[in-house]
Amino acid sequence: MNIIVLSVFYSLVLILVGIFSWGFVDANMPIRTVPLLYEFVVLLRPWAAVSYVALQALLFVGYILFLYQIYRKRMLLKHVIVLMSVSAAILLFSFPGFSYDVFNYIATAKITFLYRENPYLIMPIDIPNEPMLRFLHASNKVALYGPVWIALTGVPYILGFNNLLLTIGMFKLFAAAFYVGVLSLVWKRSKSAFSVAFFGLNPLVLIETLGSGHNDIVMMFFALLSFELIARKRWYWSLVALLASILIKFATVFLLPVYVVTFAMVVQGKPIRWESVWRWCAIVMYMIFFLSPIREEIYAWYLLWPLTFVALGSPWSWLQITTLGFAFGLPLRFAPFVYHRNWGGVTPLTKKLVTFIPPAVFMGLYAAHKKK
Amino acid sequence: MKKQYFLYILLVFAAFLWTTTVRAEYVLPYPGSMPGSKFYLLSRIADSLKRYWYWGSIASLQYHLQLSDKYLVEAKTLFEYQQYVLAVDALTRSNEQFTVLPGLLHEIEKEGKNVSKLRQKISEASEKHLKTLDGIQTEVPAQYVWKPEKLEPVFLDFTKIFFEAKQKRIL
Repeated sequence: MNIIVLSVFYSLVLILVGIFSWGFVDANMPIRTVPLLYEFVVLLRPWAAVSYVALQALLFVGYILFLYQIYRKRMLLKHVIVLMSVSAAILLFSFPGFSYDVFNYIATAKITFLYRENPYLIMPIDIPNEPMLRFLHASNKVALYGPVWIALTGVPYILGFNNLLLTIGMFKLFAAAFYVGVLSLVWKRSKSAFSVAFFGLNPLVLIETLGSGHNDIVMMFFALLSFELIARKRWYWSLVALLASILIKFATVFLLPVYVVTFAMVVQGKPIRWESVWRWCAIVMYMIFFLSPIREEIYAWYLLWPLTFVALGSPWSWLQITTLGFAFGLPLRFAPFVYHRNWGGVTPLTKKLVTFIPPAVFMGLYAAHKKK
Repeated sequence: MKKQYFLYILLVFAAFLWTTTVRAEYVLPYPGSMPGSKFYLLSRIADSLKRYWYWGSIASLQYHLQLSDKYLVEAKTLFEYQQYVLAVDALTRSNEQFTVLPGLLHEIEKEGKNVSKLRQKISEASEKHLKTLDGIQTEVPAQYVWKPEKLEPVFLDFTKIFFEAKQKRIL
């Protein structure tokens, strides 16, 4: 398939995703949306759900076709970079409607930098005249993230000049900067356009990072940076980077065993098999990914934890195929909510099915292909 | 049929009549480590250090209110065990913590934060503290002379002590 046609198709689907996201603007927000979009999402829920699934599926098909083209060397790194830049530009203008986490980040930043209160003690609801309370979903929670994340949010928050729309934009731009950071580290470690595209063009990564502005990208940037610094034998800064990563969202604490072994091997001058390091990093991050229901549930954006390392592995390995299965299924967890507009009823079961069936199917297909 | 309607209306009214307003009462904490315990000193050090964690005016108010509650419960327990000198010391600390609350509330208000809930909370705390103090006062004598073995006797005027403690809690 012609790469330009495919790129235009992919960009158009992303534009549609961006437009669709504006239908999820909360009625209590001081942000205006096109009434038609809001009515489509709220009143024509079956159609909205079908549209959401169709858009996600189309994006995924486009992504797989791109990966195939890159694997066949028909698409070069410069094409990937252009496509990622276009995707980022489109999604930066989308509304973070598929997850309201960015509003929680903003609220926590407001508690810290505007009200000058300890966000680990004071909840947004403790300030009854805070305008965000009208639409905030986690107003009765203290800060959930680490101190490094809270300190970092000062940058986008201050640059948002207390304007909600501008602040959302700044948080998304902030996530985009770390997305670029992760991509540059992936390139440095792999020198593979496939690895860069595997991460950078993944619809889940694009939507959750550039669309919803999740902070997982920041945590993964520092985690990857710590390994890059080990490779460069900059021990002290490597440790600082890992600590920063852990103190963003805590999940990367699971990387410690792999980190210690790698660290010891480099110190002893032993050769490092980076392929193996990335595999183990992916496995331990999958462990915490699967353990996340203990705390809450497996959210789509949690896939960024193992995916960052899976991208650095061999193309079309079993780990990559399984991850592709999850990358396809996890965004669909939002579909039953779009249809029912509540998280109860059949929604939890549907979420479980769409999470685990696609990777199982992908693995089955992979096994059948290998048998041939 | 009319009789049935009448009974129905009567039942609805009766339901309203029997409805009572339920409000969560202000609850004082359990007494933590008490003087004499190995952990008491650690608990006091932790109380002092927590001050740095409770930065921000609202958090600071919460910190002082929590300490005032904690020391009041400590005082109550010590009064019950007739450890009067220690009890008065705990009560004095509780008073000191409570005294800073109105100033903090004013500071929070000046910062543009809505203080209606906090004001209500402090008012409920004040009410609870006064009730607790009344309860303790009925159990102790008006005056008492504490005679330690090798030290000078200590005169304790409980009427004055409780009067001052209550004054500090009247908003």
